[in-house]
Amino acid sequence: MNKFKTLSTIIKNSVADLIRNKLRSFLTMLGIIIGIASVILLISLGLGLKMYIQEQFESLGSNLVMIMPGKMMSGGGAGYQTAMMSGFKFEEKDILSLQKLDSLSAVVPVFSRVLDIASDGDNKIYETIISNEEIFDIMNMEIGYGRLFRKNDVIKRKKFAVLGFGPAEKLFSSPEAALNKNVKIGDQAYKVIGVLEKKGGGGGAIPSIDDHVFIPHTSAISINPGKKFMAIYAKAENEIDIEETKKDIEEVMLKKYSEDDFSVSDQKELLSSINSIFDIISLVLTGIAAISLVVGGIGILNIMYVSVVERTKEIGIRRAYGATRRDILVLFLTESALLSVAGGFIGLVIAQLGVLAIRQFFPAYIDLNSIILALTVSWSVGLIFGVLPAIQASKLTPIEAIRRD
Amino acid sequence: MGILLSIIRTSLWDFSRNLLRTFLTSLGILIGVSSVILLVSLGVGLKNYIGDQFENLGSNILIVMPGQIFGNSMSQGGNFSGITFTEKDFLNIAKIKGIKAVAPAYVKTVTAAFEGKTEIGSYYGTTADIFSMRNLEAEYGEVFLPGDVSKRKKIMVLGPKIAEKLFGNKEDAVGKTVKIDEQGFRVTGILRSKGGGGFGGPDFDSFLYIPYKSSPKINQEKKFSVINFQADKESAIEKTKDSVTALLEKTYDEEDFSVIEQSQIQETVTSIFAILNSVLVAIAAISLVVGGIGIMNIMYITVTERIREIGIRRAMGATRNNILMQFLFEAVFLSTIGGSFGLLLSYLIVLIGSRFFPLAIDVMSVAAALTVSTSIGVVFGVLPARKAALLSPVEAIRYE
Repeated sequence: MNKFKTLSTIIKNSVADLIRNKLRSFLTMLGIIIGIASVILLISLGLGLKMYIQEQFESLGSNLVMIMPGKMMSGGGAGYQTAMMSGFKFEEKDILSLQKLDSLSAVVPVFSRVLDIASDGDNKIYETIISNEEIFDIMNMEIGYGRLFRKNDVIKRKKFAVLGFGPAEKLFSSPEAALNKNVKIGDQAYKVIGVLEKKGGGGGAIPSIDDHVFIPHTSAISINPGKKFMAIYAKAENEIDIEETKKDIEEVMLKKYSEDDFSVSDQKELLSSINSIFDIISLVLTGIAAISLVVGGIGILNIMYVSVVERTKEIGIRRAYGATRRDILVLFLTESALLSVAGGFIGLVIAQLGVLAIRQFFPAYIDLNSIILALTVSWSVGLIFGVLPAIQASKLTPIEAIRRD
Repeated sequence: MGILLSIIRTSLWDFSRNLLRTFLTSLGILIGVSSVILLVSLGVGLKNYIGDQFENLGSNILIVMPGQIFGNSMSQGGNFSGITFTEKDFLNIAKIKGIKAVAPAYVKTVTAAFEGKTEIGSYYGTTADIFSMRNLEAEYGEVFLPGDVSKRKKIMVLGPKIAEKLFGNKEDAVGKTVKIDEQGFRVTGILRSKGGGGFGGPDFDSFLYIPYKSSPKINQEKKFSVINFQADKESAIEKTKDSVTALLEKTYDEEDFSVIEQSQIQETVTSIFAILNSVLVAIAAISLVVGGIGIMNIMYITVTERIREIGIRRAMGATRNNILMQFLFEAVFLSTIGGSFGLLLSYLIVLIGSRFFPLAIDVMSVAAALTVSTSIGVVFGVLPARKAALLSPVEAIRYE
């Protein structure tokens, strides 16, 4: 008999036995199905969230450099907050000196504040971003209706406002209707000259980029009387030299501030620190979910022992007809592995269905790695928990096995 | 009573017949129950720990912060309102009736240097009240006094963490001079460790406490990022909160600052951890369901193996109900054994682990573990038991 034939006979035998005990096989598989489905679902949620964040960052462009107050990564991560609490801020002069750097193609001051935005008696609270005309380019925001404010508007201190899609929709009958109307921000009136294209995203705990209002920093003196900024965004001329560019920025800033007062970071650093947090959370959740796989594996172990006892006579007869110990071992191992892999496969399908449903509300994604993981893990669970009963079966002597009832 | 005894006897006989099977079936429940209980105990422990942390930081404390902290928008923007408080604000607050102590604070990341060694730490410019208010005591040396603040003495009190970093041996620090931004400050005392930080409370062990008037270079305008104050009794908290709010509204916009009770912060932190914890517990509970399915599977097998016995019992006068109870009881017994041992195991782990982690088992979790494992036995045992009960005696006896 050639090897393939043997294998196919073994599989046929196992399948026949599994079908004979439909309910039992189903319940045993169910444990693995639940285990694999929950593990894969959690992984896919983690992965989806990670990809979502990555996209958000990438949409900002990889040559973005952020200058923030305080030392961000030092002092147990509290440095940034401490600096914010201390009220440390950048000045207009800093922007001017950074603009002289050739390696930067844009320098954008940012001051933001949550403010009441009012139009015709209707008012809502939105985060107002006080910046210059380059903020739109740096944050990859496109105009939907009307126009963005321009360099000239900023220089001339025009009281113009560009609304995100959210406030335009909520405060006016339609986003288009917002154009050329006045809105009151704080206690000053601003003319709406443009409404941004809808970006989507956000929802749940994640704030949407659509829910912002933008005004030129030169016309926001009443909101920002000190003309100070809580962050400076800069765009490097070229992505390859980003480390050099960061050094240039540091040099400029060090002329005025001490090293502890500010930090310069690019997207990659921020992204990798956010990612590492998500990786840990995802690992913990997946680890806890994996406990159910162990419990499912114990179910397989239990059922395979029962199966060996029930089939003692059959084993004896097989041995008497010339099957070796190894054949018996392989027969039972195949059975437990088949059970488990089938469970893993069904679990994977259920996870995929779950992901399709979840995706309406939340980013979730199953990648090739998860599929491979699900199948490998379920296969290993079958082998690991099947090996003891299979050894027991293979150790039965033919004569005793036939005699037993 | 007699029926119950016979049910128990039969179950035990069946279990001893299949020791390995009984053990493996309960093992599933054991693992499930102990992982759920351990996670619950982590939640309870964390809650207690956070409570202790906050209590340790003084009672009846309120904090004035810039921005809307618990406003309708939890957006980051709130933190950025950008105002800082002035010396006048703090002096005016101190005059309000019912306020026992006021300690403003200006916090800034600085580099502290001692004999060529430098460490990044947090400068905490404040008054002497901070020590009494926050229950901060000196382990070595002394904390500074109100007189030291008004005399603009160039002195500092170190938190134990930063002292250890700078000096290695904390005791050595007393009397030495530490430089911040080229200014020297003599260390008068090292605080006893408070532990904590990182759970929403400030990390008082890492600060460099300096009288706010003594460091003109670091805080030129004598501004403050927060003002802590302490009501003289619990019943005065609301009143002082209103008075301070009214006072500050004269200078600042309503949205630019918040006066919050320390207990509010504690509640928020606790509720965030509670949500996280319940997610973990729910995921761990999946393994209980899988364990329950294991019980169901084994009970079906048991019923099949004992069909003839069931037939004979029925023929001898046992009712359907008797048979149902017999098998249901076995299932409940299996899962309750698993649950009890799971509880025992988690109790042992908590005993050992509580030295390193905040873990605590309360009566609630014991009750929950037993209830849940019993219910699992009922829920997953009822179908196989029903199957057994519905067998007709004649067919059952004939079955091979």
